[in-house]
Amino acid sequence: MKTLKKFIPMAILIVVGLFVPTVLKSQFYMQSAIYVVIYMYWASSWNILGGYTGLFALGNGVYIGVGAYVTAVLFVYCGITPWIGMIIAGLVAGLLSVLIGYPVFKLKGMYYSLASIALMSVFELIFNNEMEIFGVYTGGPNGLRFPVTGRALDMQLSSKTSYYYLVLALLVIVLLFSDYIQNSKTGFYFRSIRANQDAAASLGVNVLKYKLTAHFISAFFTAVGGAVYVTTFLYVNAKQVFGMDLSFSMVLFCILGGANTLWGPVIGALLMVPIQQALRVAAGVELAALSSLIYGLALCLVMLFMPDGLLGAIKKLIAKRKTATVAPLAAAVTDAGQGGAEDE
Amino acid sequence: MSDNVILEVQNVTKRFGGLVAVNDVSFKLHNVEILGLIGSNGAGKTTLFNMIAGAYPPTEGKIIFKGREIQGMRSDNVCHLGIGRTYQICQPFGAMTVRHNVMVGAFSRYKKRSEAAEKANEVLEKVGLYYRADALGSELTLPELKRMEVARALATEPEVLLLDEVIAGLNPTEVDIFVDLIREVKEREKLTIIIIEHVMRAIMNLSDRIVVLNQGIKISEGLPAEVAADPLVIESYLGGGQ
Repeated sequence: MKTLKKFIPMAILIVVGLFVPTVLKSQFYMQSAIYVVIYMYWASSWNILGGYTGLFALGNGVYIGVGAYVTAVLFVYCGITPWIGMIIAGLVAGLLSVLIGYPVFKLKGMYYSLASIALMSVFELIFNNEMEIFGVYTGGPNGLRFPVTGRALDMQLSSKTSYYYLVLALLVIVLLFSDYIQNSKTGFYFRSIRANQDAAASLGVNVLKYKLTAHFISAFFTAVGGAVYVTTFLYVNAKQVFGMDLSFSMVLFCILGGANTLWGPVIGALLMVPIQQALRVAAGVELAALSSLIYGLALCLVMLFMPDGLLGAIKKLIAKRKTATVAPLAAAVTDAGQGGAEDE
Repeated sequence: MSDNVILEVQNVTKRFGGLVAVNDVSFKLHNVEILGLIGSNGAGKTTLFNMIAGAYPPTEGKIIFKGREIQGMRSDNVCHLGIGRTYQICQPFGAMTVRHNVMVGAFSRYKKRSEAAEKANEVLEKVGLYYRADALGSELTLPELKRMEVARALATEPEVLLLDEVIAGLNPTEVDIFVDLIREVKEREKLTIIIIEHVMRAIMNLSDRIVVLNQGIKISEGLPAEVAADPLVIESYLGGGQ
């Protein structure tokens, strides 16, 4: 019964997700839908690191870029299909995240966040200014174009709708994985590190190992998303994938929806991406600054009045209602999202 | 007697810059005993705990657990070897339920979630906190927090348990309940315990032996009655009766 209940939101996501293309007829809306879903996916990937484990990385876009470039180079020069390329890209990004994480985890709090931004900026500079990297032509500011084959085998799908289904499938995978992690030993260790790493260590948690694990998982998923993202354009350049925009957006959507919860990142992106797009369209080129201003204001308000994100605020509201009737149950309800009771 | 030693602290010194927090301290801990560690604020009691539990290495000296040198070992490894600890200032995982807090400890011995949950329930039952298992760590009162600290440490199935002021801050009734609880747990689990405490009634009552620290130096060691009568202890810690 309990497990059944848990899968209801997932079922809703899949069913609604599958029906979206029948409602959205135009290419523009389909592209928007792809954005919404891929941001849900990235925000969920970041959630494993920033939400569950509490490692506030602000430059995780670097793994989108690494995923994108590795996939592009493998396809352009080695003819390796992005279907395989994206997995290799994920592994490369994961490895990079561990290599970087090792020294960076000596830094705490703000310094860790700053280091993650610095890393991304370095990658952006290198990929934007160097025409060749390790002897491989990556095009610098011109970027790198995928040869058009039009074959599904090369992840070159016939319509936006097909790409949409692809990113939807990725989203479902990352959510299922997150749910699995959250309820496993690893997830408990992530959350204990987030809460208090010294106390966690004294209870037998190898803090460095689990921080690196979180880093690897998050980087892997982020990079796979980056691979698919650029394949939809058949083009990659440094500004597009290493920019601050992507990195900050995934963090913001996750926090707005509710970090450290399974559905927070999904809700955050579902609300904010359309608002962002609508504001951009409504304000036009002349008033581009205005859309950013309204967007920023909305962010401030949510942060002020809903510090635990939208999902957190809703949970609190439900808990309050229940307290009025059955006080002791409130705590259990508040924690319902984290796996429920275990009265064996 | 000597083969009965489970933990030995040998000439341990800890310097923080110019400050000598612990100065050439040695003592032995026998199997299934309760050793009281007392001394005024800043005597180096918690520093000693931190070194045994692996929070930081001693500047000099050895710490030997079951014949193995463990000084400088990482705290999670020390935990796996069988030394559990609580913190003087409770360190709950506030956003997690009490059961989940304790499960973090249990996961050091059990891989599966269901087994860890079972262990957590068992330990919570033991320390009398089961009725709060679904409350959040941040919602507990001080006595409940102290129980949770003990429960988390017990869930790691230690052989040696380091209790850092688990009684301080409780009211007299709770103190008695806690003294009984500690003794009960020790007997049932065949635990060896070092306890830091300021509540004299509790420490005299609980301890098989007592070690007294003053400004980082061990000034006395012995049975509770002996230590309480030691003029040096009376002067430096219990308060000189002029």
